[in-house]
Amino acid sequence: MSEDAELVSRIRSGDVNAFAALYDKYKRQLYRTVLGITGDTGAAEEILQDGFVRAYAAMDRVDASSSLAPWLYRIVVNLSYNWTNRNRRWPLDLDKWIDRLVAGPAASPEHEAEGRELRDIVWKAVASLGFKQRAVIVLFYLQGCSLAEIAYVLDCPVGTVKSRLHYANKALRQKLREDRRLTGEVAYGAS
Amino acid sequence: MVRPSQGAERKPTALAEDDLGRLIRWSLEDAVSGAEPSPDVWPRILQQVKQKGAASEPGPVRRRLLSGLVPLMQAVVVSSLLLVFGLSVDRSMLMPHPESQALPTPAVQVSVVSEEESQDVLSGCILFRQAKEPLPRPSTGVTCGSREARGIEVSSWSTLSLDGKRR
Repeated sequence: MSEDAELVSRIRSGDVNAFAALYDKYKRQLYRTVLGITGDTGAAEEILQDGFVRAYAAMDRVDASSSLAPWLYRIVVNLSYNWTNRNRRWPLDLDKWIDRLVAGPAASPEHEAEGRELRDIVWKAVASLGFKQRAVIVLFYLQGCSLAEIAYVLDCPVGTVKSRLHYANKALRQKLREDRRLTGEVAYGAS
Repeated sequence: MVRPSQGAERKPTALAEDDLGRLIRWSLEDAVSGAEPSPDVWPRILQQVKQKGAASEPGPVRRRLLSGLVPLMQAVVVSSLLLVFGLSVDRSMLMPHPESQALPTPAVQVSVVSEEESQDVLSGCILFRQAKEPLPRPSTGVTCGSREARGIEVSSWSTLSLDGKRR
């Protein structure tokens, strides 16, 4: 019996500690995924909370024979989609993020500045994508999900995922090309 | 045959796509690598889960009532289903469809009467008619008996003898 299956079995019998263990196991990757899609830390926490409450309510119906990750991704991505439809904006406070996250103690000031600028460009390009392409980009590049897993999470055929990934890459390349700060093969490779 | 120029065009594109993928991956991972939900999230989840669990569980009185009602409701449902099933069977199996329904053949009653019986009936009818009809008066004008005797009613005529005396 896998670890997830054991946790699900214990949760079904009313073990709250098992539910806490499940939360600890998946909270980071789910939170980062939602953050990558919504760009809002408050929304990411709210969606994470709502997602786990829903997961607990549906625990009797879940197939616990395999990993719960795709199922949990599916819940939070759906909630992210609802949130994006309600807000229709990208409230990413990039400067605050980068100040908090990026600067490592070993990084030189020049390197840090370059890194900040590059991330700024890429994040803005990702933020300009529509929800579906952005979700594919985040799940594929950030979480390393396979195309089949993304298809399950987004409830669409694998071919659609491939198509969205292709057009998202194309759009990102176009955005990066338009940005004068980024040059070289990354921006002009497709031309 | 592939032209050299086509191969030369493809190679940088493939490399560039890999570079773009690496750049996106690195940017995303680096941006969110240290991001964690705040510690307040788990207590809120736990609180909501407990509230929902309490709301969905019936109380002791309600549970007792429900446990008593369940067999009754099951019996009602099963009996109504059986009734509906029985009615549908009656209608579909016992009653033929209008298009295939055979109309009853009108019955013709034939009574067979033998020749002897018909003769009996005929003679019975004749006798009955004769009994009802009065006998005709003699038209010869023969006076029989005295004046009193002549005044005797016709009905008793047949009982008189020729000498005018009653028999």
